[in-house]
Amino acid sequence: MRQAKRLQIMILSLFMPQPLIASGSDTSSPDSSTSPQTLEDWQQLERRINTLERKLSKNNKKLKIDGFISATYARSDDRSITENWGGITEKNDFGALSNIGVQMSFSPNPRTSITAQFVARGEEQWHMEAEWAYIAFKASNQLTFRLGRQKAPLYLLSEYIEVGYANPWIYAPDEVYGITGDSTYNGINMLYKVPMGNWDTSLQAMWGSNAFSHPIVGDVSLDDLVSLSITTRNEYITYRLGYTLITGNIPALDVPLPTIANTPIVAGDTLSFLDLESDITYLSAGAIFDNSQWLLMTEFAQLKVDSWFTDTSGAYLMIGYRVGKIMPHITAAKMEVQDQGARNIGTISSGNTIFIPPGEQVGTIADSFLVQNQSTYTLGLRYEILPAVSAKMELSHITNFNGSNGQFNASQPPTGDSVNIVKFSIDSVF
Amino acid sequence: MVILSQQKRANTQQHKLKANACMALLISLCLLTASGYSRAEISIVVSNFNNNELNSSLIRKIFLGKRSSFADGSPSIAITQDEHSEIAQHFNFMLLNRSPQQYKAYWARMIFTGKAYPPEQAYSDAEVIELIKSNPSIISYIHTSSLTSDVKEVFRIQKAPDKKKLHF
Repeated sequence: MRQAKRLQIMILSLFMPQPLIASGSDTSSPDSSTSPQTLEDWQQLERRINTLERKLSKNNKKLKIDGFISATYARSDDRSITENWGGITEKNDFGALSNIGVQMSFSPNPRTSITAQFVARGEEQWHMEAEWAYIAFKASNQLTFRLGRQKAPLYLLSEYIEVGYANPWIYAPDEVYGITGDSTYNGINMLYKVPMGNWDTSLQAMWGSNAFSHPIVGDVSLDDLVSLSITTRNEYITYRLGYTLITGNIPALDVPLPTIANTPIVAGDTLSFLDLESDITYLSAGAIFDNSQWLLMTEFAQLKVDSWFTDTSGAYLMIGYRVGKIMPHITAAKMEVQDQGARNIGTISSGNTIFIPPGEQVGTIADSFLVQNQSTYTLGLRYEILPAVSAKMELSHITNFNGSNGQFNASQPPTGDSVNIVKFSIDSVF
Repeated sequence: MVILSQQKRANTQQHKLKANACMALLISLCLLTASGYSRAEISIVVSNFNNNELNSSLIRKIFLGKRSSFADGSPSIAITQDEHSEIAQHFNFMLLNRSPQQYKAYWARMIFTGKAYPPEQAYSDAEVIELIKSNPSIISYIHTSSLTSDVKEVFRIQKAPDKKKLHF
Protein backbone atom coordinates (compact mmCIF):
# COMPACT_ATOMS: atom_id res chain seq x y z
CA MET A 1 0.00 0.00 0.00
CA ARG A 2 2.70 2.40 1.09
CA GLN A 3 4.69 1.67 -2.05
CA ALA A 4 1.63 2.39 -4.15
CA LYS A 5 1.17 5.69 -2.33
CA ARG A 6 4.82 6.63 -2.86
CA LEU A 7 4.49 5.81 -6.56
CA GLN A 8 1.38 7.99 -6.71
CA ILE A 9 3.24 10.90 -5.11
CA MET A 10 6.15 10.41 -7.53
CA ILE A 11 3.80 10.48 -10.51
CA LEU A 12 2.00 13.53 -9.17
CA SER A 13 5.26 15.35 -8.50
CA LEU A 14 6.21 14.80 -12.14
CA PHE A 15 3.23 16.93 -13.12
CA MET A 16 3.86 19.46 -10.39
CA PRO A 17 5.94 22.47 -11.36
CA GLN A 18 8.79 23.14 -8.94
CA PRO A 19 7.48 26.42 -7.44
CA LEU A 20 4.45 24.59 -6.06
CA ILE A 21 6.67 22.35 -3.95
CA ALA A 22 8.71 25.36 -2.87
CA SER A 23 5.61 27.37 -1.94
CA GLY A 24 4.76 24.70 0.64
CA SER A 25 7.71 25.83 2.73
CA ASP A 26 6.75 29.48 2.22
CA THR A 27 3.39 29.03 3.91
CA SER A 28 5.01 27.71 7.10
CA SER A 29 6.93 30.98 7.49
CA PRO A 30 4.85 33.54 5.63
CA ASP A 31 6.88 36.54 6.75
CA SER A 32 10.08 35.33 5.15
CA SER A 33 8.46 35.71 1.73
CA THR A 34 7.49 39.33 2.30
CA SER A 35 10.41 40.79 4.22
CA PRO A 36 13.91 39.36 3.84
CA GLN A 37 15.58 38.84 7.24
CA THR A 38 19.18 37.89 6.63
CA LEU A 39 21.90 39.09 4.30
CA GLU A 40 21.52 35.87 2.40
CA ASP A 41 17.81 36.60 1.88
CA TRP A 42 18.65 40.03 0.50
CA GLN A 43 21.30 38.64 -1.83
CA GLN A 44 18.89 36.02 -3.09
CA LEU A 45 16.25 38.71 -3.65
CA GLU A 46 18.73 40.86 -5.54
CA ARG A 47 19.66 37.98 -7.82
CA ARG A 48 15.98 37.31 -8.58
CA ILE A 49 15.31 40.97 -9.32
CA ASN A 50 18.30 41.16 -11.61
CA THR A 51 17.04 38.17 -13.55
CA LEU A 52 13.52 39.57 -13.80
CA GLU A 53 14.82 43.00 -14.81
CA ARG A 54 16.97 41.43 -17.50
CA LYS A 55 13.94 39.58 -18.81
CA LEU A 56 11.85 42.75 -18.84
CA SER A 57 14.51 45.09 -20.25
CA LYS A 58 15.22 42.79 -23.16
CA ASN A 59 11.47 42.71 -23.64
CA ASN A 60 11.47 38.95 -23.70
CA LYS A 61 13.96 38.74 -26.50
CA LYS A 62 14.19 35.02 -26.07
CA LEU A 63 12.64 31.86 -27.34
CA LYS A 64 9.43 30.94 -25.56
CA ILE A 65 8.45 27.29 -25.69
CA ASP A 66 5.00 26.06 -24.68
CA GLY A 67 3.20 22.83 -25.27
CA PHE A 68 0.00 20.88 -24.86
CA ILE A 69 -0.94 17.23 -24.83
CA SER A 70 -4.10 15.15 -24.87
CA ALA A 71 -3.86 11.44 -24.14
CA THR A 72 -7.16 9.78 -24.90
CA TYR A 73 -9.11 6.55 -25.01
CA ALA A 74 -12.23 6.00 -27.10
CA ARG A 75 -14.48 3.12 -27.98
CA SER A 76 -17.81 2.73 -29.72
CA ASP A 77 -20.52 0.05 -29.23
CA ASP A 78 -21.03 -0.37 -32.97
CA ARG A 79 -18.92 -1.83 -35.76
CA SER A 80 -19.29 1.42 -37.75
CA ILE A 81 -16.28 3.71 -38.19
CA THR A 82 -16.49 7.43 -37.41
CA GLU A 83 -15.41 9.65 -40.26
CA ASN A 84 -13.42 12.11 -38.19
CA TRP A 85 -10.95 11.54 -35.34
CA GLY A 86 -9.10 8.78 -37.15
CA GLY A 87 -12.10 6.47 -37.13
CA ILE A 88 -13.36 5.31 -33.73
CA THR A 89 -14.70 1.73 -33.81
CA GLU A 90 -15.76 -0.92 -31.30
CA LYS A 91 -12.08 -1.66 -30.67
CA ASN A 92 -10.09 0.02 -27.92
CA ASP A 93 -8.49 3.13 -29.35
CA PHE A 94 -5.81 5.12 -27.57
CA GLY A 95 -4.72 7.15 -30.59
CA ALA A 96 -7.73 8.52 -32.45
CA LEU A 97 -8.23 11.67 -30.37
CA SER A 98 -4.72 12.03 -28.93
CA ASN A 99 -2.33 14.79 -29.89
CA ILE A 100 0.72 16.70 -28.77
CA GLY A 101 1.67 20.24 -29.73
CA VAL A 102 4.75 22.38 -29.25
CA GLN A 103 4.81 26.11 -29.87
CA MET A 104 7.90 28.25 -30.19
CA SER A 105 7.78 32.01 -30.29
CA PHE A 106 10.55 34.55 -30.67
CA SER A 107 10.39 38.36 -30.55
CA PRO A 108 13.37 40.04 -32.22
CA ASN A 109 11.85 43.40 -31.18
CA PRO A 110 8.75 44.55 -29.28
CA ARG A 111 6.69 44.97 -32.47
CA THR A 112 7.58 41.73 -34.22
CA SER A 113 7.16 38.10 -33.26
CA ILE A 114 7.72 34.82 -35.04
CA THR A 115 5.62 31.84 -34.02
CA ALA A 116 5.62 28.18 -35.04
CA GLN A 117 3.28 25.55 -33.67
CA PHE A 118 3.79 21.89 -34.51
CA VAL A 119 1.09 19.35 -33.82
CA ALA A 120 1.33 15.54 -34.04
CA ARG A 121 -1.95 13.61 -34.00
CA GLY A 122 -2.67 10.00 -33.24
CA GLU A 123 -5.08 9.83 -36.18
CA GLU A 124 -2.24 10.80 -38.54
CA GLN A 125 0.26 8.27 -37.18
CA TRP A 126 1.86 11.04 -35.11
CA HIS A 127 3.36 12.82 -38.10
CA MET A 128 4.36 16.31 -37.03
CA GLU A 129 2.67 19.13 -38.95
CA ALA A 130 3.15 22.88 -38.81
CA GLU A 131 -0.30 24.21 -37.85
CA TRP A 132 0.85 27.77 -37.27
CA ALA A 133 3.97 29.32 -38.80
CA TYR A 134 3.77 33.09 -39.08
CA ILE A 135 5.42 36.40 -38.52
CA ALA A 136 3.35 39.00 -36.68
CA PHE A 137 3.76 42.73 -36.80
CA LYS A 138 2.13 44.99 -34.23
CA ALA A 139 1.37 48.25 -36.05
CA SER A 140 -0.17 49.82 -32.92
CA ASN A 141 -1.67 48.73 -29.63
CA GLN A 142 -4.90 48.07 -31.55
CA LEU A 143 -3.71 46.69 -34.87
CA THR A 144 -1.72 43.51 -35.59
CA PHE A 145 -0.89 41.88 -38.92
CA ARG A 146 0.16 38.27 -39.38
CA LEU A 147 1.62 36.65 -42.44
CA GLY A 148 2.08 32.92 -42.91
CA ARG A 149 0.34 29.69 -41.98
CA GLN A 150 -2.52 30.15 -39.53
CA LYS A 151 -5.88 28.83 -38.41
CA ALA A 152 -8.92 30.54 -39.83
CA PRO A 153 -11.24 31.84 -37.10
CA LEU A 154 -14.22 30.00 -38.58
CA TYR A 155 -15.88 29.27 -35.23
CA LEU A 156 -15.64 30.17 -31.55
CA LEU A 157 -13.01 27.53 -30.77
CA SER A 158 -11.38 27.05 -34.20
CA GLU A 159 -8.07 28.63 -33.28
CA TYR A 160 -7.46 26.47 -30.19
CA ILE A 161 -9.67 23.48 -30.83
CA GLU A 162 -6.73 21.09 -30.49
CA VAL A 163 -5.65 22.37 -27.08
CA GLY A 164 -7.70 19.90 -25.04
CA TYR A 165 -6.96 21.66 -21.74
CA ALA A 166 -8.48 24.92 -23.03
CA ASN A 167 -11.73 23.25 -24.14
CA PRO A 168 -14.58 21.85 -22.07
CA TRP A 169 -14.99 18.76 -24.29
CA ILE A 170 -12.55 16.07 -25.39
CA TYR A 171 -13.50 17.26 -28.86
CA ALA A 172 -15.96 19.99 -29.86
CA PRO A 173 -19.29 18.87 -31.39
CA ASP A 174 -18.78 17.30 -34.81
CA GLU A 175 -22.18 18.62 -35.93
CA VAL A 176 -20.64 22.10 -36.16
CA TYR A 177 -16.88 21.63 -36.17
CA GLY A 178 -17.02 18.60 -38.49
CA ILE A 179 -18.84 20.45 -41.29
CA THR A 180 -15.82 22.35 -42.51
CA GLY A 181 -12.91 19.98 -42.14
CA ASP A 182 -9.56 21.70 -41.92
CA SER A 183 -9.39 25.40 -41.04
CA THR A 184 -5.66 25.95 -41.61
CA TYR A 185 -4.72 28.35 -44.41
CA ASN A 186 -1.75 30.27 -45.72
CA GLY A 187 -2.25 33.99 -45.94
CA ILE A 188 -2.54 37.30 -44.24
CA ASN A 189 -4.55 38.14 -41.14
CA MET A 190 -5.48 41.49 -39.66
CA LEU A 191 -6.61 41.79 -36.07
CA TYR A 192 -8.06 45.08 -34.90
CA LYS A 193 -9.05 45.67 -31.28
CA VAL A 194 -11.83 48.23 -31.04
CA PRO A 195 -11.61 50.19 -27.80
CA MET A 196 -15.23 50.35 -26.60
CA GLY A 197 -16.11 50.77 -22.92
CA ASN A 198 -16.68 47.57 -20.97
CA TRP A 199 -16.89 45.42 -24.10
CA ASP A 200 -13.69 44.18 -25.71
CA THR A 201 -14.44 44.05 -29.40
CA SER A 202 -12.09 42.68 -32.01
CA LEU A 203 -12.38 42.48 -35.77
CA GLN A 204 -10.49 39.85 -37.66
CA ALA A 205 -10.07 39.76 -41.43
CA MET A 206 -8.07 37.18 -43.33
CA TRP A 207 -7.24 36.37 -46.90
CA GLY A 208 -5.42 33.29 -48.10
CA SER A 209 -5.54 29.85 -49.70
CA ASN A 210 -5.34 26.22 -48.67
CA ALA A 211 -5.32 22.68 -49.98
CA PHE A 212 -6.36 19.65 -47.96
CA SER A 213 -7.79 16.18 -48.21
CA HIS A 214 -11.52 15.78 -47.53
CA PRO A 215 -12.67 12.38 -46.22
CA ILE A 216 -15.33 12.00 -48.95
CA VAL A 217 -14.22 13.93 -51.99
CA GLY A 218 -10.45 13.73 -51.68
CA ASP A 219 -8.09 16.57 -52.53
CA VAL A 220 -9.74 19.95 -52.30
CA SER A 221 -7.97 23.16 -53.23
CA LEU A 222 -9.26 26.41 -51.86
CA ASP A 223 -7.68 29.10 -53.98
CA ASP A 224 -9.21 32.20 -52.55
CA LEU A 225 -10.34 32.32 -48.96
CA VAL A 226 -11.72 35.44 -47.32
CA SER A 227 -12.92 35.35 -43.73
CA LEU A 228 -14.33 38.11 -41.55
CA SER A 229 -15.30 37.82 -37.93
CA ILE A 230 -16.32 40.08 -35.11
CA THR A 231 -16.04 39.07 -31.48
CA THR A 232 -17.22 41.11 -28.55
CA ARG A 233 -16.94 40.13 -24.92
CA ASN A 234 -17.38 41.50 -21.44
CA GLU A 235 -16.57 39.83 -18.16
CA TYR A 236 -19.13 37.04 -18.56
CA ILE A 237 -20.42 37.01 -22.12
CA THR A 238 -18.81 36.47 -25.52
CA TYR A 239 -20.62 36.94 -28.83
CA ARG A 240 -19.12 36.00 -32.16
CA LEU A 241 -20.22 36.32 -35.77
CA GLY A 242 -18.20 34.98 -38.68
CA TYR A 243 -18.54 34.91 -42.45
CA THR A 244 -16.20 33.08 -44.83
CA LEU A 245 -16.24 33.02 -48.61
CA ILE A 246 -14.13 30.50 -50.47
CA THR A 247 -13.63 30.03 -54.17
CA GLY A 248 -12.23 26.59 -54.60
CA ASN A 249 -12.02 23.44 -56.58
CA ILE A 250 -13.89 20.34 -55.51
CA PRO A 251 -12.57 17.38 -57.51
CA ALA A 252 -14.50 14.83 -59.51
CA LEU A 253 -16.04 12.00 -57.53
CA ASP A 254 -16.82 8.54 -58.89
CA VAL A 255 -19.71 6.67 -57.30
CA PRO A 256 -20.53 3.08 -58.36
CA LEU A 257 -24.18 2.60 -59.37
CA PRO A 258 -26.64 -0.29 -59.40
CA THR A 259 -29.06 -0.85 -62.26
CA ILE A 260 -31.81 1.76 -62.18
CA ALA A 261 -35.10 1.06 -63.95
CA ASN A 262 -36.17 3.35 -66.80
CA THR A 263 -32.67 4.76 -67.18
CA PRO A 264 -29.75 3.61 -69.29
CA ILE A 265 -27.80 2.93 -66.13
CA VAL A 266 -26.76 -0.64 -65.52
CA ALA A 267 -24.80 -2.22 -62.68
CA GLY A 268 -21.12 -1.45 -62.95
CA ASP A 269 -21.60 2.07 -64.28
CA THR A 270 -20.07 4.82 -62.29
CA LEU A 271 -21.55 8.19 -61.61
CA SER A 272 -18.91 10.87 -61.98
CA PHE A 273 -19.55 14.15 -60.33
CA LEU A 274 -17.85 16.82 -62.32
CA ASP A 275 -14.79 18.65 -61.22
CA LEU A 276 -16.25 22.02 -60.29
CA GLU A 277 -15.08 25.49 -59.49
CA SER A 278 -17.36 26.41 -56.64
CA ASP A 279 -18.20 29.16 -54.27
CA ILE A 280 -18.35 27.95 -50.70
CA THR A 281 -19.73 30.09 -47.89
CA TYR A 282 -19.68 29.52 -44.15
CA LEU A 283 -21.78 31.53 -41.79
CA SER A 284 -21.39 31.04 -38.08
CA ALA A 285 -22.70 32.68 -34.94
CA GLY A 286 -21.87 31.75 -31.37
CA ALA A 287 -22.12 32.84 -27.77
CA ILE A 288 -20.53 31.87 -24.46
CA PHE A 289 -21.72 32.70 -20.96
CA ASP A 290 -19.16 31.94 -18.25
CA ASN A 291 -19.49 33.37 -14.75
CA SER A 292 -16.88 30.88 -13.48
CA GLN A 293 -19.66 28.67 -12.10
CA TRP A 294 -22.08 28.26 -15.00
CA LEU A 295 -20.76 27.65 -18.49
CA LEU A 296 -23.19 27.95 -21.40
CA MET A 297 -22.09 27.67 -25.01
CA THR A 298 -24.06 27.70 -28.20
CA GLU A 299 -23.13 27.92 -31.83
CA PHE A 300 -24.79 27.75 -35.21
CA ALA A 301 -23.03 27.16 -38.52
CA GLN A 302 -24.13 26.91 -42.11
CA LEU A 303 -22.16 25.67 -45.10
CA LYS A 304 -23.36 26.44 -48.62
CA VAL A 305 -21.71 25.05 -51.74
CA ASP A 306 -22.75 26.01 -55.28
CA SER A 307 -22.39 22.54 -56.76
CA TRP A 308 -23.39 18.94 -56.32
CA PHE A 309 -21.92 19.10 -52.84
CA THR A 310 -24.42 19.36 -50.00
CA ASP A 311 -25.49 22.46 -48.07
CA THR A 312 -25.32 21.64 -44.39
CA SER A 313 -26.24 23.41 -41.18
CA GLY A 314 -25.42 22.46 -37.62
CA ALA A 315 -25.87 23.75 -34.10
CA TYR A 316 -25.20 22.81 -30.50
CA LEU A 317 -26.10 23.91 -27.00
CA MET A 318 -23.92 23.07 -24.02
CA ILE A 319 -24.59 23.64 -20.32
CA GLY A 320 -21.99 23.02 -17.64
CA TYR A 321 -21.90 23.71 -13.92
CA ARG A 322 -18.70 23.83 -11.89
CA VAL A 323 -18.77 22.30 -8.42
CA GLY A 324 -15.29 22.79 -7.00
CA LYS A 325 -12.91 20.93 -9.27
CA ILE A 326 -15.64 19.06 -11.11
CA MET A 327 -17.72 20.25 -14.03
CA PRO A 328 -20.53 18.02 -15.23
CA HIS A 329 -21.93 19.11 -18.57
CA ILE A 330 -24.53 18.18 -21.14
CA THR A 331 -24.55 18.94 -24.85
CA ALA A 332 -27.16 18.53 -27.56
CA ALA A 333 -25.97 18.90 -31.16
CA LYS A 334 -27.64 18.45 -34.53
CA MET A 335 -26.55 18.62 -38.15
CA GLU A 336 -28.81 18.45 -41.15
CA VAL A 337 -28.39 18.68 -44.90
CA GLN A 338 -30.58 21.47 -46.26
CA ASP A 339 -30.86 20.47 -49.90
CA GLN A 340 -31.28 16.69 -49.73
CA GLY A 341 -32.68 15.48 -53.06
CA ALA A 342 -33.09 19.03 -54.31
CA ARG A 343 -29.69 19.88 -55.71
CA ASN A 344 -29.12 20.30 -59.39
CA ILE A 345 -26.42 17.78 -59.99
CA GLY A 346 -26.10 18.68 -63.69
CA THR A 347 -24.89 16.60 -66.57
CA ILE A 348 -23.04 13.59 -65.39
CA SER A 349 -21.04 11.27 -67.58
CA SER A 350 -20.55 7.60 -66.94
CA GLY A 351 -20.61 4.68 -69.32
CA ASN A 352 -23.80 6.36 -70.54
CA THR A 353 -24.23 10.10 -70.56
CA ILE A 354 -27.47 11.25 -69.01
CA PHE A 355 -28.98 14.38 -67.63
CA ILE A 356 -30.10 14.05 -64.05
CA PRO A 357 -32.57 16.57 -62.75
CA PRO A 358 -32.81 17.05 -58.99
CA GLY A 359 -34.91 14.63 -57.00
CA GLU A 360 -34.41 11.70 -59.38
CA GLN A 361 -33.25 8.29 -58.25
CA VAL A 362 -29.63 8.93 -59.18
CA GLY A 363 -29.74 12.06 -57.09
CA THR A 364 -30.98 9.95 -54.19
CA ILE A 365 -28.06 7.60 -54.65
CA ALA A 366 -25.67 10.52 -54.75
CA ASP A 367 -27.24 11.84 -51.57
CA SER A 368 -26.65 8.55 -49.81
CA PHE A 369 -22.93 9.17 -50.20
CA LEU A 370 -22.92 12.85 -49.39
CA VAL A 371 -25.72 13.58 -46.97
CA GLN A 372 -24.79 13.67 -43.30
CA ASN A 373 -27.65 13.98 -40.85
CA GLN A 374 -27.22 13.25 -37.18
CA SER A 375 -27.84 14.36 -33.61
CA THR A 376 -25.52 13.77 -30.68
CA TYR A 377 -26.36 13.94 -26.99
CA THR A 378 -23.30 14.05 -24.79
CA LEU A 379 -22.95 13.71 -21.04
CA GLY A 380 -19.54 14.76 -19.84
CA LEU A 381 -17.43 15.38 -16.78
CA ARG A 382 -14.29 17.46 -16.47
CA TYR A 383 -12.11 17.12 -13.38
CA GLU A 384 -9.21 19.43 -12.54
CA ILE A 385 -6.42 17.21 -11.22
CA LEU A 386 -3.91 20.08 -10.92
CA PRO A 387 -3.88 23.66 -12.25
CA ALA A 388 -2.36 22.47 -15.53
CA VAL A 389 -3.78 18.94 -15.76
CA SER A 390 -7.38 17.92 -16.26
CA ALA A 391 -9.20 14.64 -16.81
CA LYS A 392 -12.34 14.35 -18.92
CA MET A 393 -14.84 11.65 -19.69
CA GLU A 394 -17.74 11.74 -22.10
CA LEU A 395 -20.54 9.48 -23.18
CA SER A 396 -22.07 10.35 -26.55
CA HIS A 397 -25.28 8.97 -28.00
CA ILE A 398 -25.37 9.58 -31.76
CA THR A 399 -28.69 9.14 -33.55
CA ASN A 400 -31.27 10.62 -36.02
CA PHE A 401 -29.38 9.64 -39.17
CA ASN A 402 -32.56 10.09 -41.30
CA GLY A 403 -31.49 7.66 -43.97
CA SER A 404 -27.91 8.91 -44.12
CA ASN A 405 -24.68 7.55 -42.70
CA GLY A 406 -24.26 10.53 -40.39
CA GLN A 407 -20.63 11.36 -39.65
CA PHE A 408 -19.62 7.76 -40.27
CA ASN A 409 -17.56 6.23 -43.03
CA ALA A 410 -19.77 5.16 -45.96
CA SER A 411 -17.88 1.85 -46.20
CA GLN A 412 -18.91 0.97 -42.65
CA PRO A 413 -22.11 2.86 -41.75
CA PRO A 414 -23.97 2.48 -38.42
CA THR A 415 -25.69 -0.90 -38.16
CA GLY A 416 -28.64 0.38 -36.12
CA ASP A 417 -30.49 3.58 -35.28
CA SER A 418 -27.83 4.85 -32.93
CA VAL A 419 -24.19 4.56 -31.88
CA ASN A 420 -22.76 5.16 -28.41
CA ILE A 421 -19.18 6.30 -27.93
CA VAL A 422 -17.29 6.54 -24.66
CA LYS A 423 -14.22 8.78 -24.44
CA PHE A 424 -11.62 9.53 -21.75
CA SER A 425 -8.76 11.99 -21.83
CA ILE A 426 -5.99 13.50 -19.76
CA ASP A 427 -5.11 17.00 -20.98
CA SER A 428 -2.25 19.21 -19.97
CA VAL A 429 -0.43 22.39 -20.93
CA PHE A 430 3.24 22.86 -20.22
CA MET B 1 -18.15 11.45 51.55
CA VAL B 2 -14.76 13.09 51.90
CA ILE B 3 -13.49 11.17 48.94
CA LEU B 4 -16.53 12.19 46.93
CA SER B 5 -16.14 15.91 47.71
CA GLN B 6 -12.42 15.70 46.84
CA GLN B 7 -13.35 14.13 43.54
CA LYS B 8 -15.91 16.90 42.97
CA ARG B 9 -13.26 19.57 43.67
CA ALA B 10 -10.86 17.85 41.32
CA ASN B 11 -13.57 17.74 38.67
CA THR B 12 -14.42 21.43 38.99
CA GLN B 13 -10.72 22.27 38.80
CA GLN B 14 -10.46 20.20 35.66
CA HIS B 15 -13.49 22.01 34.25
CA LYS B 16 -11.92 25.38 35.05
CA LEU B 17 -8.70 24.33 33.35
CA LYS B 18 -10.65 23.16 30.34
CA ALA B 19 -12.60 26.41 30.25
CA ASN B 20 -9.38 28.42 30.44
CA ALA B 21 -7.83 26.35 27.68
CA CYS B 22 -10.95 26.88 25.58
CA MET B 23 -10.81 30.64 26.12
CA ALA B 24 -7.13 30.72 25.21
CA LEU B 25 -7.85 28.71 22.08
CA LEU B 26 -10.76 31.00 21.18
CA ILE B 27 -8.68 34.14 21.67
CA SER B 28 -5.78 32.76 19.64
CA LEU B 29 -8.23 31.67 16.93
CA CYS B 30 -9.68 35.20 16.84
CA LEU B 31 -6.18 36.65 16.59
CA LEU B 32 -5.27 34.17 13.85
CA THR B 33 -8.33 34.97 11.78
CA ALA B 34 -7.80 38.69 12.33
CA SER B 35 -4.19 38.48 11.16
CA GLY B 36 -5.23 36.11 8.34
CA TYR B 37 -7.86 38.61 7.27
CA SER B 38 -5.47 41.55 7.17
CA ARG B 39 -3.00 39.44 5.19
CA ALA B 40 -5.78 38.65 2.74
CA GLU B 41 -6.11 42.32 1.78
CA ILE B 42 -4.35 42.93 -1.50
CA SER B 43 -3.07 46.28 -2.76
CA ILE B 44 -2.57 46.86 -6.47
CA VAL B 45 0.52 49.03 -6.73
CA VAL B 46 2.33 51.15 -9.31
CA SER B 47 5.31 53.48 -9.31
CA ASN B 48 5.06 56.80 -7.42
CA PHE B 49 5.73 58.47 -10.79
CA ASN B 50 2.64 56.89 -12.36
CA ASN B 51 -0.28 59.37 -12.18
CA ASN B 52 -2.77 57.41 -14.25
CA GLU B 53 -6.33 56.80 -13.17
CA LEU B 54 -6.90 53.07 -12.70
CA ASN B 55 -10.12 51.22 -12.04
CA SER B 56 -10.79 47.49 -11.61
CA SER B 57 -11.84 47.00 -15.22
CA LEU B 58 -8.66 48.60 -16.58
CA ILE B 59 -6.49 46.65 -14.13
CA ARG B 60 -8.23 43.42 -15.20
CA LYS B 61 -7.51 44.16 -18.87
CA ILE B 62 -3.82 44.83 -18.19
CA PHE B 63 -3.40 41.63 -16.15
CA LEU B 64 -5.23 39.54 -18.79
CA GLY B 65 -3.03 40.85 -21.61
CA LYS B 66 -5.90 42.69 -23.33
CA ARG B 67 -4.25 46.06 -22.82
CA SER B 68 -0.59 47.02 -22.78
CA SER B 69 -0.81 50.72 -21.94
CA PHE B 70 -2.04 53.04 -19.19
CA ALA B 71 -4.66 55.76 -19.80
CA ASP B 72 -1.97 58.28 -20.87
CA GLY B 73 -0.67 55.88 -23.51
CA SER B 74 2.55 54.95 -21.69
CA PRO B 75 3.37 51.21 -21.74
CA SER B 76 2.11 49.03 -18.91
CA ILE B 77 3.89 45.88 -17.76
CA ALA B 78 1.94 43.58 -15.45
CA ILE B 79 3.90 41.49 -12.95
CA THR B 80 2.06 38.76 -11.07
CA GLN B 81 3.17 36.83 -8.04
CA ASP B 82 4.03 33.12 -8.16
CA GLU B 83 0.89 31.49 -9.60
CA HIS B 84 0.89 28.86 -6.83
CA SER B 85 1.02 31.41 -4.00
CA GLU B 86 -2.08 32.26 -1.99
CA ILE B 87 -1.90 35.98 -2.87
CA ALA B 88 -1.88 35.21 -6.63
CA GLN B 89 -4.78 32.81 -6.30
CA HIS B 90 -6.77 35.37 -4.27
CA PHE B 91 -5.98 38.09 -6.79
CA ASN B 92 -6.95 35.88 -9.75
CA PHE B 93 -10.18 34.90 -8.05
CA MET B 94 -11.25 38.29 -6.64
CA LEU B 95 -10.22 40.57 -9.49
CA LEU B 96 -9.93 38.32 -12.54
CA ASN B 97 -12.82 36.08 -11.46
CA ARG B 98 -10.86 32.92 -12.25
CA SER B 99 -9.90 29.80 -10.31
CA PRO B 100 -6.30 28.54 -10.76
CA GLN B 101 -7.53 26.14 -13.44
CA GLN B 102 -9.57 28.78 -15.27
CA TYR B 103 -6.61 31.17 -15.12
CA LYS B 104 -4.36 28.51 -16.65
CA ALA B 105 -6.96 27.64 -19.33
CA TYR B 106 -7.35 31.34 -20.20
CA TRP B 107 -3.62 31.71 -20.82
CA ALA B 108 -3.52 28.43 -22.77
CA ARG B 109 -6.10 29.96 -25.14
CA MET B 110 -4.11 33.18 -25.46
CA ILE B 111 -0.71 31.49 -25.92
CA PHE B 112 -1.74 28.87 -28.47
CA THR B 113 -3.62 31.39 -30.61
CA GLY B 114 -0.59 33.70 -30.48
CA LYS B 115 -2.57 36.56 -28.90
CA ALA B 116 -0.62 37.19 -25.68
CA TYR B 117 1.74 35.71 -23.11
CA PRO B 118 1.13 35.66 -19.35
CA PRO B 119 2.93 38.26 -17.20
CA GLU B 120 6.31 37.49 -15.63
CA GLN B 121 6.14 36.34 -12.02
CA ALA B 122 7.73 37.79 -8.89
CA TYR B 123 8.15 35.63 -5.81
CA SER B 124 7.59 38.05 -2.91
CA ASP B 125 6.16 41.47 -1.98
CA ALA B 126 9.70 42.83 -1.50
CA GLU B 127 10.63 41.72 -5.01
CA VAL B 128 7.56 43.48 -6.45
CA ILE B 129 8.45 46.73 -4.64
CA GLU B 130 12.07 46.61 -5.85
CA LEU B 131 10.93 45.95 -9.44
CA ILE B 132 8.47 48.89 -9.40
CA LYS B 133 11.22 51.18 -8.02
CA SER B 134 13.43 50.24 -10.97
CA ASN B 135 10.75 50.34 -13.71
CA PRO B 136 7.86 52.87 -13.59
CA SER B 137 5.88 50.90 -16.26
CA ILE B 138 5.22 48.04 -13.87
CA ILE B 139 1.86 47.36 -12.23
CA SER B 140 1.65 44.57 -9.69
CA TYR B 141 0.12 43.59 -6.35
CA ILE B 142 1.28 42.97 -2.77
CA HIS B 143 -0.22 42.28 0.65
CA THR B 144 -1.61 45.56 2.00
CA SER B 145 0.44 44.92 5.17
CA SER B 146 3.63 45.14 3.06
CA LEU B 147 2.84 48.61 1.62
CA THR B 148 5.75 51.08 1.77
CA SER B 149 6.24 54.67 0.57
CA ASP B 150 8.27 53.29 -2.38
CA VAL B 151 5.09 52.35 -4.25
CA LYS B 152 1.66 53.83 -4.80
CA GLU B 153 -1.51 51.91 -4.02
CA VAL B 154 -4.11 52.39 -6.77
CA PHE B 155 -6.71 49.80 -5.80
CA ARG B 156 -7.43 47.54 -2.85
CA ILE B 157 -9.11 44.17 -2.76
CA GLN B 158 -10.81 44.19 0.63
CA LYS B 159 -12.51 40.89 1.12
CA ALA B 160 -10.88 37.50 1.37
CA PRO B 161 -12.50 35.02 -1.00
CA ASP B 162 -14.70 32.26 0.30
CA LYS B 163 -12.42 29.20 0.55
CA LYS B 164 -15.19 26.98 -0.74
CA LYS B 165 -15.48 29.01 -3.91
CA LEU B 166 -11.74 29.07 -4.43
CA HIS B 167 -11.12 25.73 -6.10
CA PHE B 168 -7.79 24.87 -4.49
